[in-house]
Amino acid sequence: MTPPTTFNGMLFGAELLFIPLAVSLWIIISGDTVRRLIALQLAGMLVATQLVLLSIVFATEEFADVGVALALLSLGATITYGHFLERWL
Amino acid sequence: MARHIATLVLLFVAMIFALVSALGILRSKNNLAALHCLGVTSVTLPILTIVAVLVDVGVGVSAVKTVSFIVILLLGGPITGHAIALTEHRRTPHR
Repeated sequence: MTPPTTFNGMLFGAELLFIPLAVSLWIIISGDTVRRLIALQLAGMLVATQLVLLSIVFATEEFADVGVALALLSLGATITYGHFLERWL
Repeated sequence: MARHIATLVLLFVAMIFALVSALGILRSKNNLAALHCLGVTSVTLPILTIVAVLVDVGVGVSAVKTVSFIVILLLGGPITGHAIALTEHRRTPHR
């Protein structure tokens, strides 16, 4: 895994996604329960996208697999946690 | 070099949409409005990402993996949105 030595638009683009990720992490810290769930969904989407982009930048297939797994787990986790909130909290 | 700049521009636009969405979630008056703001990112981010990948690397193994990832995000967005909206609807006391 060697980082690119010249300007790489995809690497910069992946790093740019940290800005909305920081906002969504702030909502997760400070929001009410359902809003935290919404921000968690947004954060999961952003991190999974970053992983897929970084897998292309570093030519590492495992990052893409982790991104796909994270997207799938995020889907299941949101539905399960929503059901949990609805029933018990 | 032009490919990298085009990719950066596409991902910058995706970042702007995601940032507007995150700020919308932060500033919304109720949770259903916040969920509406999430929809902006769940549609634009996967589409702009796949366009950026196709511009940068073209059609290949990476693009196929990215397409499978994008399909998960595009199909999963409405499902999770519906689940969260149902949760919010059932938790909110009705008149």
